[in-house]
This record gives sequence, C-alpha cells and structure tokens, in this order.
Amino acid sequence: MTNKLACGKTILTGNKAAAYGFALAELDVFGGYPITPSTEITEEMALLTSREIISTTYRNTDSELASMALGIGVATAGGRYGTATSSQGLALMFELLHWATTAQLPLVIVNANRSLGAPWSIHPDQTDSLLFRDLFMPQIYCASVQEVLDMVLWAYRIAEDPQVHLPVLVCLDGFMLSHTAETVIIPAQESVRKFLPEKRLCKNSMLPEFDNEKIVNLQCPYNWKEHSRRKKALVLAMQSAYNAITEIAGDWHHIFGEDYGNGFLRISGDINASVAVVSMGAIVGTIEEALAEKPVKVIGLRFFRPFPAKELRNAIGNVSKIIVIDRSILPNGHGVIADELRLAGGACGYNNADIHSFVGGFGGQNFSEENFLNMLSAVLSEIGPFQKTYWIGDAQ
Amino acid sequence: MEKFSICLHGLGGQGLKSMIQDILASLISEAGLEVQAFPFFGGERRGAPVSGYLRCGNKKITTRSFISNPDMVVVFDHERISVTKALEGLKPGGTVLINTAFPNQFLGLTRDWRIYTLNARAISLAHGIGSPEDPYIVINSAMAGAMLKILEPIFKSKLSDKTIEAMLNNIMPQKILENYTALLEGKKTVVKLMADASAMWQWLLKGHPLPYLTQPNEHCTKCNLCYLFCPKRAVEITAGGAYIIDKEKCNYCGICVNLCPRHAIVMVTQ
Repeated sequence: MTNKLACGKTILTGNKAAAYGFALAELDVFGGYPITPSTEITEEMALLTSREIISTTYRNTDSELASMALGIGVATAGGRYGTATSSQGLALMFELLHWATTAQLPLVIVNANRSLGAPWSIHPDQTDSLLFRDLFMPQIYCASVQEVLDMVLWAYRIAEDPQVHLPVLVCLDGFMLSHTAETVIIPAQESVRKFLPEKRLCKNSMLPEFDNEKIVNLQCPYNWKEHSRRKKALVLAMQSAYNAITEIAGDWHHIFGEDYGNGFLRISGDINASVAVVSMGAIVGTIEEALAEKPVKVIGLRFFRPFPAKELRNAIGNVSKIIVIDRSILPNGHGVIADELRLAGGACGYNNADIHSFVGGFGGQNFSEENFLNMLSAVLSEIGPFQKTYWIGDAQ
Repeated sequence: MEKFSICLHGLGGQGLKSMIQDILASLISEAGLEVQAFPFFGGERRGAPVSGYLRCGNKKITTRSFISNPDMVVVFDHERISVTKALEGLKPGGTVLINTAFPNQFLGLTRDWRIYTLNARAISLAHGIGSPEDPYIVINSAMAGAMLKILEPIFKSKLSDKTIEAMLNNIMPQKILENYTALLEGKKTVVKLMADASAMWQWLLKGHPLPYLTQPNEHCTKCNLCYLFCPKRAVEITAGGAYIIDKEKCNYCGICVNLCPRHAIVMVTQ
C-alpha cells in the first residue's frame, strides 16, 4: 500500500474531510455516483486515485443501487469498501442496503444529509438517513468538519469489529458541514494504522478459496431456525457495536489526543443546570454558541444507532426540563429524537422531566442564535410547548 | 481580534465559493486565525444567486447559522444583485466592497460605512480570465486581492506575495499566473470612496428637486482642496484667482462641501 497523503493542519470542507477519511482508511474500492451535496466526496476520491496519491480502486457506478451492489461484492470478497451519497441516492440504495445489513457486510456509507423529496430540495434535513433508523446499521452524526474525518475512521473500526460486522452510516449535514470549510488536522497514516488495523477477513460472509472443496451457501434460503438465528445475530451485532464504542473513543484519545468522551455524546455547558438541550448534527455547535451564557447543558448525539439511552440518562441527570431540537418530522407529528426519548423515557427513567420538542430547519431554513434564545425563554417562562411539537420559525 | 464576519453576494460562475474556501480561508488560517467559510445557494446554475459566509477570530468557531449582522459585506455584481438588500444588517462602521466600473453611484449609500470599490471584471478580462461576452466570468482572484488589502489592517497581519503565490500553486489546476497577477492588481486598485453625502442623497431619494451649490463665499482661503478633489473637474480657478463652480459639470456629489475646512461652499436645497 502506497499513500502520499499530506498530513497536518489544513483547511477542508466536510466533503473533502470525508474523502480524506476514506483515503486514510486505505480502501480497496470506492464506488462513486455523485449527488448534491455529497458530490465533492466522489470528485475528491476520483482525483486522489487518478493522481495515484492513494492506491484505492475507483469505480464509476451507474446508480446508487449499483454502488451498493459493488460494495456487497467487495465486502463479500473481503475487501474494504466505501461510498458516499445523499437523500434520494440513499433512498435508491435501500433494497441492497437492507441486504448488506442483514448479510452483515462491513462497509461504510457517508451520507450528506439532504431533504428527501417531495418537494425537490438540496438543503439539509435529517429525514433521509433517519428513515433508515430501523436497519441494523449504526448511524453516526457529525457536528464539525474534523469529526467527519474522524468518524469515517471510527465507522470502519465499528464495521469491521469481529463481533459487529455491519455497514455503518456516517452522516454530515448538507451544506452546513459538507460545504463548510474549516480548520482540520489530518492525522498521520502510521497513527491511523495503529487505530484501524488492516482488514481481518469476515468469516460469516467470506467466499471460500477457489480450490476449496467445501461448498458454502451464503445467502440462499434457509429453514426458519437458521433464519431466526441470523435475525438474533443481528440484534447481538448491534449490541456489540454499542459495547465497542467507548473503547474506540478511548483508543482514539490515546493515539490522537482528541477527547471524544465516552464516544456517544458531545456534552457542553453547565453540568448542574436544570435544563438540558438535546440535538444532533451540525446545529449542536450553533446551539452551544447561542446558549453559552445560559444555565443549560447542551447534549449532542454523535450516535443515533445504537441509541445511547444509558449515556443520555446519565448526561441528562436530574434536570426538570429537556428541550429537544429535531431536523426531522414523523407522521405522528414528533421529531425523531423527541419520539425516541419519549419511547425510552419510561424504561430509562429520565426522571419524568418535561420534554419540549422543537422541529424545523427544512428547505434551507436558517437556525439563528436568536431562534434558540427565543426557544429557551419560551420554555423557561412556561409558555412553551409541552407534549406537543413546536415549529421553529412559526409566529409565537 | 475577537470575531469578524463577512457576508458575500455573487452569482454562480464568478468563483465566490472557491474564493472564500480555497483562497481566503487558507490565507486567514495561515495568518493564525480560526476560520469558517460556507456558501449557500438554491439552484446550481451559472448566474443564479450565491451567498457566502465567512467567520474568523481568535476563538474556535462552532456556530453554523447564517450571518445576519456582518462586519463586512462584499457584492460581486451590483447590477444583478440589490446592493441595498445586501447591506441590510451591516454593522455601523462596517466595511463594504463592491465590484463596479462606476463607483460614484455608491456615494449615496455611505452612512458611517467604509465603502471600497474595484473593477474586478476589467481586471479579470485584462489578464485573460473569461471572455467579454460572458456576463458571469470568474472575478474571484481580483476580489480576493481587494479583500486581503482591506482585511490586512483589520487582522493586523500581512501576508507576503510569496505565501499567496505558493497557496495559489497549491489550489489551482490552471491559469495560476493569470490569477496571481489579477490578485495583485485587485490589491493595488481597490479604492475607498471618500465623501459622505448621505444627507444629500436621502434628500434626493425622497423626490426633492436638485439642490444647488453656492459659489465659494468670503470665507474661502483659496486652499485648493475643492479644486483638487472634485471628481468632475467642475471647480475652476479664474485668471483673477477666484474659485467658480461650473453648474453644467457639477454632479452634486457633495465632496467639496464636506471637504472645505471653512464651510465656504454650501449645498442649498430648493
């Protein structure tokens, strides 16, 4: 493996950072089918491979479905595969995405979050990836450009963990991260190799050697007992992914010095505050800056799947009010995170704190610091919503 | 410098996105500041409106909202983009940079803003970037030069031409020399509009008739300032040494009124 990637401090957009993550992961194959806003990832991979800066094989595919099919082939053959897409593209992948998860094939998809039509939009919201929250697939949501690069590497660590073996989805908000240029530190390849060792062959899906006499049935129909065993194995794999994350965060801290806490959450603000704000993705940074002077703690979810219920309970602690800000909406009128928290509330015991749910940020709507300050004062003065959903930007 | 934010308004094809992300963000980072730069657009087409947002400062930047009260506004095309709208929210004392061939029309916009202009399109064309028939040519190198010139005293940091050249070599696939010379020319030719005639323009905008200037009165010390700074050469000095304002040439910009140390010239509204 040759790799002539420059390391150190530089300016990258979220898209380029994702491509550098793929480059540092030393992929065998990258499948490219560009779609706004993730196009730049595919372009950058094409550039890095054609200039022989990295030794990955780059393939133009004829659709997102084909790039997933290519991934299934590469992962089954024991190779390391990555691809990037957005909204409609991710939706087109769905059939084979489900196949890759249930066949337990380790690969990584970077998704630049964008509204899933209709109506047509290139602006960010998280509905596209959250639609797939019921797949056996860990989902990571990045809050900064540096995190995008780091999380691609984490994703391969999780995907290729022998106890896990699942596809992993890394999400970055379209434009808010994908097109935002920021200071990023590109880690050295040697350190990355310490964190992410060469791919070990995956015994539950690997093709046998060509001259092996033993014939293997990989994904053909089984009897119900074997089928059930496979389903149970998927649940265990997700549990193993959950168990692996804290150790991965520890390893990262040890090798690169960057402290991601327990890995699941990004926590800031007043630890003893009586109000907690929970959100996910790029807006966490805006919330942090807007509410920096206020007595609140801000919790950003880095992992949505596996859902960090226990970590959230510890982080939320004894607050009296939880504000949840979602960039997604469900048919029942709730945001996805708020819904998840309400579901988990009883089992996880969020100390019966009131959940105030806010949704918005669709079709290019800007979230300003003022939005969040207004939201907080509405909740604190008790005129805010409780057990219903408030749309940010609606007249108060 | 705690925090500095810039809003930019351009059109698809002019190179706004690559200017803020590839040229400016790298150079600002080189100058030792934290930086964040992102574009916003609806349609991905040539000529469609593009906005850009750039934040920088000593502290790490985590917020990702659009900038509503910038310290600086940059307009890439004053004919197709509403300058008045672009300037909404600009902080008092803020800085404006406009690409235009006719700077004087913006004298009326000055409040306490510092308005800079340059003819970036002419610079690009002179250096072989873009064709004269194309309304949306790349003007980002000249604009970047002008911005660096304006920002250097604000950031208290000066980048050498060598650093700039090395950076362009790093990011540009072609026409590196053309862009480098265009950038230097942008740096050299950006000018600050001097006069503050805002009251006069407010008056005119309300539909009042044209005012007239009094001829220099007895307070005049013949210091020559009005003659030197009149953009229309409307101030004439007679053989006897008297100062006269030619009403045919005068465009009522008010520069002489603001400039005269003895208030010898007065703008009278009818």
